[in-house]
Amino acid sequence: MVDENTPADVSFLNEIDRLVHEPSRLMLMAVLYVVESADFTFLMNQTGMTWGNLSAHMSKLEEAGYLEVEKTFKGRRPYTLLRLTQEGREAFQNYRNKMRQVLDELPE
Amino acid sequence: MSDPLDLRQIEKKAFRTTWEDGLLDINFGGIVASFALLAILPAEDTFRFLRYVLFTVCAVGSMLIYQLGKKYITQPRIGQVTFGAMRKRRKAVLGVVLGGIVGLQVLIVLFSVLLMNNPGLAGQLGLPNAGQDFERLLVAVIGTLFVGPSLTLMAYFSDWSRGYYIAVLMSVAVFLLIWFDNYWFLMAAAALIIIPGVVLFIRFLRKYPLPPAEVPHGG
Repeated sequence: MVDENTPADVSFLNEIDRLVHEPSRLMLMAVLYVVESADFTFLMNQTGMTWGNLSAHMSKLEEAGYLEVEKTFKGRRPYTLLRLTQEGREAFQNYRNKMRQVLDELPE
Repeated sequence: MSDPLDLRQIEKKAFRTTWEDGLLDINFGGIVASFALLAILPAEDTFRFLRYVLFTVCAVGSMLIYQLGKKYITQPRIGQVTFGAMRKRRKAVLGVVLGGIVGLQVLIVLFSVLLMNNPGLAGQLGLPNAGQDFERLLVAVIGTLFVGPSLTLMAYFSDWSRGYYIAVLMSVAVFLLIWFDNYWFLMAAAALIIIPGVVLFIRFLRKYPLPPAEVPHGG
């Protein structure tokens, strides 16, 4: 039986990937997880982020190796296509499992 | 088990965005309208040419509106996306199921033709005597069965919720068309499909304005 006075062990919260945990990046990764690839405009519409915000988060995820960014031109305008790398997919899945565990273990 | 992220819903929402423009409704309604036009316009020699021209213009026009609209109006506004394996699987399943339904429909038609040509067989099977009204009812039901389930399945597998409305509308229209031998029912159905499509299209244009020219598609 669990003693109500004993503080719950929440040390595993430290294992949560903070890069994924940030709400905007989480939203971005969730959308990219369910599709194969998407361009900047599509992601802006789906996440409601501004161009600058999305660009900043994109760079962070790209640096971490979670995101593959393909830059080309469509006519005279730059065109950016984004997709999660295998590492990014695994990081997102791990984050999801961890959060599930955290929420399930919370007392009622 | 609690899941803070409903990925299925996220995927569904992303996918449904691609239908928000109403172009598929306009395309579908346009094709229905072109067939209705072909049947409604007089078939005399002087009008024959006009009928086919109008049919072709209407059918090709609605397909062009769809293709060009997607490329030049929808994509620049909502962006481009390639969906994952789950969506491709659903598409494949739709193909198999629709193939099965078409096969079944062919069997029903063949069986009905057989019954119509063999009144004795119909009697042996305990079916009512194939009078003119019965024949027409049978054809109307078969026509409805051709259209209804196929469109419903298309709507289900494509997550195209307006497809259910179109399925019901088309089923009723086809039944009434055959029962009353009046192609205006088909034209009315086409109008009831196109009008909401146009409304959706206008709403889409307002909801997703073109990104300003100075904003690039990406950093």
